[in-house]
Amino acid sequence: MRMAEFSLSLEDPKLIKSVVESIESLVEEASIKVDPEEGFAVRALETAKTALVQVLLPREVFSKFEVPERRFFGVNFTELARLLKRAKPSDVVHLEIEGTTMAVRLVGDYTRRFTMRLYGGEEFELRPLNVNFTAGARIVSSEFPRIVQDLKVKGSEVTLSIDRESVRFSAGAEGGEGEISLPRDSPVVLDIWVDEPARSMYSLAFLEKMVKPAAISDELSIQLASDKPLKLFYALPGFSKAGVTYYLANLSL
Amino acid sequence: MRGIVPAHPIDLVDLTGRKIALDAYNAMYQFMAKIRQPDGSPLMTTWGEITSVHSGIFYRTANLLAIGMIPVYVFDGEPPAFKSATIAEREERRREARELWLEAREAGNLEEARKYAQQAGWLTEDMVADAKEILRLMGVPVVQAPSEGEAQAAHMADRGDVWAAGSQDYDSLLFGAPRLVRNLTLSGRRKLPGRKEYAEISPEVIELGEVLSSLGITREQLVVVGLLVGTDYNPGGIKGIGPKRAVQLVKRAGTLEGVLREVGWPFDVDPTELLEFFLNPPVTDDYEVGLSPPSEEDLLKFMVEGHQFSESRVSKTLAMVREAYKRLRSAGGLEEWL
Repeated sequence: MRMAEFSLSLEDPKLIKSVVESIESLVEEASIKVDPEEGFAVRALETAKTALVQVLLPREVFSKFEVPERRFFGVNFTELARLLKRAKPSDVVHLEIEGTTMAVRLVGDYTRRFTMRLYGGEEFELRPLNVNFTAGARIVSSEFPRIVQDLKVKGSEVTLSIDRESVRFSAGAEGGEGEISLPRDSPVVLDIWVDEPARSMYSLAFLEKMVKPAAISDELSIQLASDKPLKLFYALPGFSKAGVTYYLANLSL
Repeated sequence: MRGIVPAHPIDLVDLTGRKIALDAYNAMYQFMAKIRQPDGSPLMTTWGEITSVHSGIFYRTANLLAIGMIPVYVFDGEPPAFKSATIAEREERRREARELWLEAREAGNLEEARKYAQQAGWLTEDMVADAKEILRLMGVPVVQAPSEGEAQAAHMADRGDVWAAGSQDYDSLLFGAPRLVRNLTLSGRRKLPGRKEYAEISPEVIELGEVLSSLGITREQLVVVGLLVGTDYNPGGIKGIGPKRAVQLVKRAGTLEGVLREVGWPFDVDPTELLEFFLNPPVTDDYEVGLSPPSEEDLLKFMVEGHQFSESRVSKTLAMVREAYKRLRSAGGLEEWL
C-alpha cells in the first residue's frame, strides 16, 4: 500500500471521538492544523460568533505522528464524527491524508476504511481571546455535564458567579429558581482564585454543547469576568496546555 | 431649529443593535395624537378607557425591537418651576382643541375633527402608569428622570450608555445629546396638516458635533440660539428672530449677556436660569438600560383582557418580541474579544 503524505495514529479512539464531537457540536466545518512541532490543532468560531472552540492535541498523544510539514485542511466535522462513531473501544484509529482525501482506518480484529474529502483549510494560530479574567476555578470535569443538566430543569440561561467562597450557578427566574453552589471545600472544587469576584450570564443551550470533553479530561478550568465571555478549558491528563478550550459570549443585555 | 441643523436620513437597519433613549412623553403624545379612528376619536375600550397610548407603546416598541433596536424609555420627573406657564398654556390649548374637536365631530366634519383631535391629545396618570407597565412586561428598560426626560436621555447618550437620544424635539441637542434620532416613534406615513396628502417620514440622525462645527458656534451658544428661537420654556422664542438670524446674532454678540444687550427678553422666566438649566440639568446615574425577558402571559392578559386588544394580533406581536429578545441578547458575540 502506498504511504500517505500525513499519517496519524491513536491507540485509544475515545480521545479523538470526544474531541471531534466537541467541535462538531458547534460547527459543521472547521480547519485543522497539523504541525511537526505543535501537533494537531483546531480553531473554529461558531457562525453567529457566540462561541469559539480551540483544540490542541500534542504529538505525544499519537502513537504515530508523521507530519513532514505544517499544513491546514478544511474538514467536515459532522462527517468525521459519523465515521469515528464506528470505532470500537479496542480499535486503533489511523488518519491518513493524501492530496485532498482523508482515510479513516479503524483497525481491530479486522480493518475498516472510510474516506472523506478535505477542503482548503483556513490558516490560524491558537491564541487566547483578549478577555481579562478576574476569577477562576478548577473543578472535577465529570461533574460539569451533570451541573448543566440540573440547571436545564429550571431555565435556559445561567448566571455563573465566582467569589472567594464558592462557584455558583443559578438558572430560572419567575417560575422558580435552580441554584447549584460548589463551596471551596467541596471535593469537586480543586482550586478557586479571585482577583475580583465575577458574575455573568450565559446560554445553557450553548453550555450544553460544551460538556463533551468531560469524557477525556479530569480537570475543567472555568475563567470568568463580570459581563464578559466565559472560558472553559478541559486539560488532557498529564498536559498543562493541551486539551479543549471553549469561549462563550455572555448574554449582554 | 429645523432650517439650520444638518440632518441625515438613516435606515432603520442602521439602528440594529443600538440602544436609544426615547423621550417617553414625547412618544406618548405622538401616539395619543396619531393613533385615532377616522372621526378623531382615540382608540377606546367598550367601557370608555382610551388606549391609543397602549397601542403605540406596545406595537411600535415591538417593531423597534424587531428591527434590532433597543429602546430605553425615559419618563419625565418633576418639571422645572419655570415650565408651569408652558404647561398651563398647553393645557389651555388642548382644552380648546378638545371643544373644537367635539363640535366638528358633531357637525360631521371629519377632516376638521381629525385635525383638532390631534391637538387635543392629553395624557392621564393612568395612561402613563399603563405605558410603564406594558414596557416592564415587554422587558424594555424604563428610566425615571429626576426632571426633564430629554435632559436625562441626553445625559445617557453623553455617557455612552445609549447610542443616541430619540425625540422629535430639538431641545435634546440643547441638553447636550451628542446624537439625536428623530421620527422613530412615528409610523412610516404622516398626514400633512390640512391636506389630504401623506408624507413619507423616515428617521433622521443629527450629530451635535456637526451642528456646532457647521454653525461655527459652541454648545453654550447653541443653547442661546435655542432660547432666541424658542424652547419648551419660552415657546415661540423672540418674535422676528428666526434660526438664521439667531445664529448671526449669537456669533456677533458671543454670549447670552451680549445678545440680551441687543434684544429684549419678553418672557417671565430668567434667561440666565434657562441657560444654566440646559447646560446642567438635574439628571441621575441610577438607571439600567438592559432588556429583560418578556413576561408573555402577563402581557397578553394585560393587553387582551385588560384593554380589549385583539388576542391574535397581540400574540403574533409577542412572538416577534420573543424572537427579537433572543437575537438581541447575544448580539455581537465574541467579535470584540477576537
